Amino acid sequence: MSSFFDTDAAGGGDRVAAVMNAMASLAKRSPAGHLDGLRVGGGDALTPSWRTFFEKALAALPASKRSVEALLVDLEHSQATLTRKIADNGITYNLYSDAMAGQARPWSLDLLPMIIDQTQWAQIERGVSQRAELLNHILADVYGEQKLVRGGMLPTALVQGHPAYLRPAHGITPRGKTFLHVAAFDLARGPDGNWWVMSQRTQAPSGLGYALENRMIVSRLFPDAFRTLHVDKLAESYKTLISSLMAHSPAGADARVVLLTPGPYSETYFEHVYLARYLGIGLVEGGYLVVRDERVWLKTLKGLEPVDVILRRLDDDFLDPLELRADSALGIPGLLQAYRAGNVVLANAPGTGFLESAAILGFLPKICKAVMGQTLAIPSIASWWCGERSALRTLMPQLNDYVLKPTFNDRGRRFVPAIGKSLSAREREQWTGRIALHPEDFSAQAFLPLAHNPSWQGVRAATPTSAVGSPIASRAAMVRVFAVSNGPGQWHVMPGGLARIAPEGRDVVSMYRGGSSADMWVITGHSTDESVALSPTLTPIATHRAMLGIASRAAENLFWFGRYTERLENTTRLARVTLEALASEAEETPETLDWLHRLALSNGLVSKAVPSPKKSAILFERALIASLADRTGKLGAYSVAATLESLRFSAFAVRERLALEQWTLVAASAVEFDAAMAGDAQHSGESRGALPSSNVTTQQAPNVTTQQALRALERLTTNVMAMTGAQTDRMTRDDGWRLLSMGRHIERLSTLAEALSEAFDTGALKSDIGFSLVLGFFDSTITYRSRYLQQRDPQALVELLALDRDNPRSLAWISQTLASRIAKLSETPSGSVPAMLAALNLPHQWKNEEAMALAGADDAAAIIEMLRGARLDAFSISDALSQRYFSHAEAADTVVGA
Amino acid sequence: MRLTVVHETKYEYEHAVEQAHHIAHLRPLASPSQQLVSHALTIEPKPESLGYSLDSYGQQRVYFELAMPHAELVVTSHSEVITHALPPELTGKLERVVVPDSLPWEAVAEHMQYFAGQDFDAAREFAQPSPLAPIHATFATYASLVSTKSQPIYELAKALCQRIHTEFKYSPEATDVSTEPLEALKLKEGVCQDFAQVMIAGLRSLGLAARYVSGYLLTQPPPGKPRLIGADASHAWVSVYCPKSGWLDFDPTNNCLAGESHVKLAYGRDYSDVPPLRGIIRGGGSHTLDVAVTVSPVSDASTPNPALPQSQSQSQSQSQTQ
Repeated sequence: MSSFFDTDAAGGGDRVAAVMNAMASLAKRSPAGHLDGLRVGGGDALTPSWRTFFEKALAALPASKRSVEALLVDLEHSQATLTRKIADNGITYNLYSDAMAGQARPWSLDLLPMIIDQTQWAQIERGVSQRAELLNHILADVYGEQKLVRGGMLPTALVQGHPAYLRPAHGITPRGKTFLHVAAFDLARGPDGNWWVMSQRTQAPSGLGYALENRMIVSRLFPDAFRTLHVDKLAESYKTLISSLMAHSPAGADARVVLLTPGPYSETYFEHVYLARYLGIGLVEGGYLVVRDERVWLKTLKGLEPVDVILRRLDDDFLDPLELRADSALGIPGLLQAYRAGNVVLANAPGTGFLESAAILGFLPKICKAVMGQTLAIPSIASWWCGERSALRTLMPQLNDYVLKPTFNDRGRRFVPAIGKSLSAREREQWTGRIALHPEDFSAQAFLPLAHNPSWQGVRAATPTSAVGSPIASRAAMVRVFAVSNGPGQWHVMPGGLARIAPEGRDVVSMYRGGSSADMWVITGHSTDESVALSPTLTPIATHRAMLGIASRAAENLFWFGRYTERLENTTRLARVTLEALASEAEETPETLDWLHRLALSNGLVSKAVPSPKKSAILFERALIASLADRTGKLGAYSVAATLESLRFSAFAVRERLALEQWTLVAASAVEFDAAMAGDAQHSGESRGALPSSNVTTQQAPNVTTQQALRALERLTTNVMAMTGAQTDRMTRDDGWRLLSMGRHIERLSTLAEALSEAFDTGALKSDIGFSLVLGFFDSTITYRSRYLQQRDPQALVELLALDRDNPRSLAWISQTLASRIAKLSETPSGSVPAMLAALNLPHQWKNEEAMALAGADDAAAIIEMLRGARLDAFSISDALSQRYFSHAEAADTVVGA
Repeated sequence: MRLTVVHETKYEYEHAVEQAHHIAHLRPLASPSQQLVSHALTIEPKPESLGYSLDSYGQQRVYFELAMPHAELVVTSHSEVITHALPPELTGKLERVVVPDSLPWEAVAEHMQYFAGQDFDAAREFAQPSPLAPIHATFATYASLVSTKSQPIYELAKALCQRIHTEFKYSPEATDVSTEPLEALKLKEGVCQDFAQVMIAGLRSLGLAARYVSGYLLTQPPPGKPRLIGADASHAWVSVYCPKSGWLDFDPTNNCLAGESHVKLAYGRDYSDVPPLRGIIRGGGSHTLDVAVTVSPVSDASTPNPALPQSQSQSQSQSQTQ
């Protein structure tokens, strides 16, 4: 407890109380019939926790500014920080369509946490732990002896009749008889303050990553309240999970654990990346795992490495195309057999999905009594399966009182839950008809008016003193609480979780349907270590395990991350050089314009349809500027913004290996470049006037001046330097980094070799202007001037740009670096790449005198030939690398059968 | 009758397959109505890994992996079984068959429903929809065309079986192993798998329990001709449940009950539970598949028996290119 606050509070107690009262009266009340989470017993006073929360926020303000207005302004600032953090950290929740369009949507997080006090938590903890044990018991029975179905305690229709019941998993007992390693329960609080289980998630529950991220952000915005309220920490739960997973493998502490993701199109991909990194385990897609000898292996640069535990975020159906869904391209053929053989821990075990059916809830009280001799510590919301005729007869006449939910989750039978009391008479009749036809497809649950949580709306929502459109609204809320295995037969309930907030006026909580989330503060009363500060960065919680080699997936993505970084640097520079040249006072020679045109075409700055700069410098320039901002290539070119988009995507795919700053830089650069190329032009007054509207290519060009485009490119150049700097200085020199570096050097070698060969071929070097443009594109103007003064000498140029071993933009330096990276990487068994390399004649192997002589010859054909060869060699090396290291995941699986 | 079965499956790939995982359900059932005398499975090339396990119905399932490149895979199953003849009143075309007594179908459907504390009946699992034999109003309507009030369930099954046999055209080109029965019903064409799955879906859509039987059929060579090697094929039919009288096997392809000419491999909810051979391969390009089945009596007298069904004119081999 801060002494600063105590002395102060003693002096200004009345004023604090006044502010608290004001907060209580300006915050919206929950609607009648819904518990108000902010106030005591529906009265006017804040709950003790919320009072502490706001008092601490108030106390953090300077003494002279402790007014309700200042507090609201402060909360507004915190909200701005929160929004910025979510954008900076790239926290997203994809809907499939968004991911396809390359636009993930920002995660939605409320500023105010949901606070759960000690008494409530004690019941939740007991109830959730008991339920995890119960569900695990049911799984062991259903996939083993099947006493529950035989004894009539579970209907066949809800087990063997459920599509999520997996026959191939029958008869398999996982180690420790642990089927569930992560179980999630959605809980809600009724009007009387009691908690209910609304639904159970047993397959591959999401939320553990988002819960952690929410905590990292919100707890830091309210550090004093967080400390004073003794909110329980989360880290222990994640440690428990990972050690329990390892304890379930014969490999024990040496067990290698991976997180299996469906990939970047998954709606919760962000969380997979985040969680894998926090847990210190590899993130893999199914294509990079393989089953050999009934064991699971990970493909790495150094060959196959065994995998002992798979924490999977892939749904059951997709796990194994051999025994489950044949059309799954995301799964691993043979995985079920490896599981059957006891060679891999699957967390969770396959086949748990039938427990997620709303119909199951109604059968749990009796089963709990029968197998555990206990009553449920947290009841399920009253639920009935319409397939039981006696239940059906009771339910049908009074559908109004219930929420209708699907029993089964397959495409033909699932539906969006319907709330009885919101149905019109005609709709109710339709539902009655549907139920009568196939009663087993429907389940009914009692309608629970959800308790509300305060939700920050912002000061601008209204005047601070009016409760209408208040800055603090009231929203229906639910919490997702997680039980994780803690060794065989033991469960640990994470003191926290994911609170989910319904949209305004809604009583259904779902992230998918526009809801929001909130940090969940649990006050357990267990002593927490006050001296431990919140970890300042996301450090992996476990570091003691054997590290996996670089997975092929990561390697491939890093390689492309490198290539796109370099490509971005080159296109940006070329665009600048070109625009500057066109805008300069000096008259370009036709040869120089030819050179610029050819490079613009081959580097994707303009499409073929655009007239050459010799024909129309102005149209060429406008088209080039228009294409700069075109992210999708719809203008027929693949220029700067499009390259940035590819870079962003490859960075996203390999995000778990990049420092957060690297990812943020890429994302922020794209946003900044977009803005500079779009918004600024509107009010700059510098525009050049209308373009000829007949020109299709530039028709939709944003009205950006050359100066503005150059400024945007300049700014981007600085950002690219920061990116390459981070790649050079901040990354560990492992094989993954080597591939990134190779990607960059291959890209640079091919681009610069072409620029040089075209410089000879077009004759651009024959004019001073052309000569200095070439030097400019190679970023070697200063070196050249200091070494060769002002002379325009093609031999000197070749010496500096092709043969010099010390100039990082010379072809010889590039190919030498590339070769040495390959040599280091290839200390691995395979010799195919070095052998291929040995057959090439790369620039660093060229004989200087010979090359200089060719450069000085009247006929440039020979030097052009040599330079073009260097470009082709770069491509061959790229092909050889991908063949050797990346080809695994490209091959598709085929189903065969007779 | 003592029967030998040789079932050879041969894949030929355009390019070498880099890795392959397969699962086979090729061991004939040992049951009161069928004794398994011997069974051997050979796989060429030799798999790197081979695992035997039981499926959820207690039937043998074989898993194997090929991790070395191979351009051809041959899986051969040699089995010998003893089957038992049906009583005379149950043999021959369904028109002349007098099925045993059974409960009215409505009572059977009622029995399949759940109520708390009911006695267990494993057959209830086969009243549930499955991927290739779902419950659907179209099937219910189709089955209702032959059902009458309080009709004994075996009579209903017999009528449905006859209707499918009459209405459907046997046509190996019309469908493949993944064709859904709704599609087959629309086409009124297909092979034994489609006939069986349509019949199962029809019964299930009325709330009844029926299961899929994967197996073989002994066919009779044309009079005066020797038995051709590989002339037979995998076969499939339907087992129908009555709580009072048990399971009775109907063959809608041949319009008869399954008797001593039928060799049972495995039961399932539909084909997808018990495909004889199924695999996932990487690489390989296009491939051809040849299946050759020979069923022959151990002491092959080759005397035509009028009680046995006639030749099924099933394709001697199927091939497909992907």
